Amino acid sequence: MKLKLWLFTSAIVLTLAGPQPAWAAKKIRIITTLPELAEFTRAIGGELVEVESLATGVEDPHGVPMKPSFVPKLSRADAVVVQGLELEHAFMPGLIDACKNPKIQAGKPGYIDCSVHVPPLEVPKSLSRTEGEIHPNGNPHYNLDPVLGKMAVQTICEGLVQNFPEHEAEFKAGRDAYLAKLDQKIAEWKDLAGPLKGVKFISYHNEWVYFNHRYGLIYLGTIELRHGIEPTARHVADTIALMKTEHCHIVVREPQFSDRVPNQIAAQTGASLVKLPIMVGGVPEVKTYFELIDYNLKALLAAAKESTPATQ
Amino acid sequence: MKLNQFFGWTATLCLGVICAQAQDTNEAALLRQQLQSMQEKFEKQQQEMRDNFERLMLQQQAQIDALRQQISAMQTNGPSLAATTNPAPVVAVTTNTVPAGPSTEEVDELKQRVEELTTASKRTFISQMNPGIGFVMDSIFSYTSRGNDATGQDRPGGFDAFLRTAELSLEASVDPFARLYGVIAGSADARTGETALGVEEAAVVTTSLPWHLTVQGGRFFGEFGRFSYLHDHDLPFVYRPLVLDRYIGGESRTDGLQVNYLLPTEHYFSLTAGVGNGFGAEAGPTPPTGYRSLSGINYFGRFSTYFDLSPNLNLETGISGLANSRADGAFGDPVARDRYIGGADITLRYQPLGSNIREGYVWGTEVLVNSANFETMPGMFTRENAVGVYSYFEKKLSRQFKAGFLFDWLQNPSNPREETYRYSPYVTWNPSEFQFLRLQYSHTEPRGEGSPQNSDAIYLQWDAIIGRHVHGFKQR
Repeated sequence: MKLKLWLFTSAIVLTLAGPQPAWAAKKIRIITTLPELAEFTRAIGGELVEVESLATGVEDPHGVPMKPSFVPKLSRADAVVVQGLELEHAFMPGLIDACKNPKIQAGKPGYIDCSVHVPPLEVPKSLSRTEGEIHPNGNPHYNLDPVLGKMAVQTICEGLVQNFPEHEAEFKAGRDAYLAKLDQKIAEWKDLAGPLKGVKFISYHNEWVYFNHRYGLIYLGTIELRHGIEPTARHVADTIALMKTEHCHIVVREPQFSDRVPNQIAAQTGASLVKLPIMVGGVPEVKTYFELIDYNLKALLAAAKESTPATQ
Repeated sequence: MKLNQFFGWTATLCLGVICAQAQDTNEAALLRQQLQSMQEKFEKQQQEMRDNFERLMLQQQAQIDALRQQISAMQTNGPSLAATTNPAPVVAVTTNTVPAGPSTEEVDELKQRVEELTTASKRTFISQMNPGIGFVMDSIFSYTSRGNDATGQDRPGGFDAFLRTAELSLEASVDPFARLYGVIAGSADARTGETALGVEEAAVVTTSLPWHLTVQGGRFFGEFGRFSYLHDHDLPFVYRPLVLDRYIGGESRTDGLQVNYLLPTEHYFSLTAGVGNGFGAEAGPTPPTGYRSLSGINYFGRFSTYFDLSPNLNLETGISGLANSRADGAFGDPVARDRYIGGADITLRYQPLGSNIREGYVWGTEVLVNSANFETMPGMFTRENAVGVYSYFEKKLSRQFKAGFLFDWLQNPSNPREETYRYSPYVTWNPSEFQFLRLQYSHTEPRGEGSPQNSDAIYLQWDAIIGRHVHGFKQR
């Protein structure tokens, strides 16, 4: 009996004192600002990483609430992944400052900015707030172009390799596997989006510049007067007139904005009103990045098909 | 003779013909030689041209290959600039339909332009290391039903307009370990109208201390309560709640040192402790002996935490304290000594994630207890304990409009039997993130013997900011 007890105790002690099994190894903690960046990071890091996104996807990416509960998450993070181009200017600088984590301060290796290799569009010619709440380094909504999504994947991989070089092979394998799937979908989306070439539309906020460049849609303007500035009655009237002149059939509303003015414009022009997510999770049907691009293309195709000309 | 002549002429003719034929043969050979030479020269030129052409082709092919490799690498990593700004070339490249390569001249011209741009980007400017600069203007237009002789307020009654403050803020990193910021504020004296310029804040803040610590030193707004450390233009109302004005003395300005510690837990706990020479409106202890012991300075601190009650609803709460056992400075009327303030605050926010830019509400309440010895007669001190509270509710009506209601109640710190009530509905319009107008009505009811009279006031606050603008965690 004593021998059995001794053996049992020894087994427990050896189990506890012995080397940790692989599954118990500490995971790399990554915080991302957007859900798609979390998806990319999970795909690259696999089992090595524990990833959480601050935004759930339904928020305005410029105005994610600065919750104090984000602070401990950031303070314990090994790296943070941001979309960049000042998309997160309204909440990340404050949170990064509050979290007191030297590893993830802007400019440090732990601060992975996915926009560093993105050739920006709509870089303002002059930095004046007469143009509204402009982004000095260009439009930050490149996540809606899947080819630039690939660039974000690559940048995240580079960032992870720089921070954790011992896992380079695993990260690159994860990246290549994800990019292979994405490449396949990009080819499909190219074919799918063919009929969208030349289709005109307006949207509440200009989140679509990269998307348009990729798929050849024609963007007529924003419902907002300027970036971040609510429309005036005059601007709404001008927009309606423009849509009629240009035979524009589609009004896009991003989920975070009120549908009051888009409804008004759609009613007066006979255009279709389409609600399009700008992040993964923006609508319940969109749970992955593939579904995000799929959803937006198919919704626009449906709108283009069923809409009637705006002219009266 | 004739025959001889005939033969002679014939021979001469034949000889002439032969000579002529020989001459023709020489010229043809010469021509053939020339032709051959020309042919050789032509072939040589052709060869040279072919060689040059092949060399050019090779050069161009090398350029194309290099570009292809770049594009290929970019396609693995993402597209090149050209591919992104114009989708068509991407298709061409990926289908191996190689476009005509650029000519040497074009390449040289491009190289020159790139060099010019690179040179331009390397120019140095004396302003390059300047800090971020912001400028805020805060002005108030108002009508008060009674003169300030009846209300006891700083500003005159009736119609009034004044620039409450104009603030110039500066901020930049000092080095990898700290940043420095300053706020230079200009404001008009409420009574004399004289404009004074002062250093409202100038503090260095560490940025890379371990163990989740931050140390702040210099002149700053010490962390106490919910609104004490905010500038007037960051408040959701026109005026600071009465209790903060009377007990703290406006902003919690202090010259001192503050340490903030973020507890290393998965839940948010923040702990701040600081020491300072004076706090708020208090000018700072100035003992007549000219010597100050540790008990002569202010000690303050705050502990706060936060709970996500649901994805859309959250609660933040905190307690704060201030102690100054020898507060000889000019606080209150009469002079207060041995001052202690305790406070508790709670903030409930409803922020629907999908529409928080245009919907939601916040309810906040803060209670302060002030305990101080007041010199009621020369050498005679009486300890008075007073309580004050403010509570407000604010709702977002749209992306641009918010409306709220602020309730104030407090006991006079030197005479708790005197109380003041104030009711203030307000509405704020933000045409953009950088400008707002706020309309507020306030009904003030002082109660108690010898208290000022009731008054009503309407305020229009107009604030705007230019330059650097940050969304700080404290201003959330």
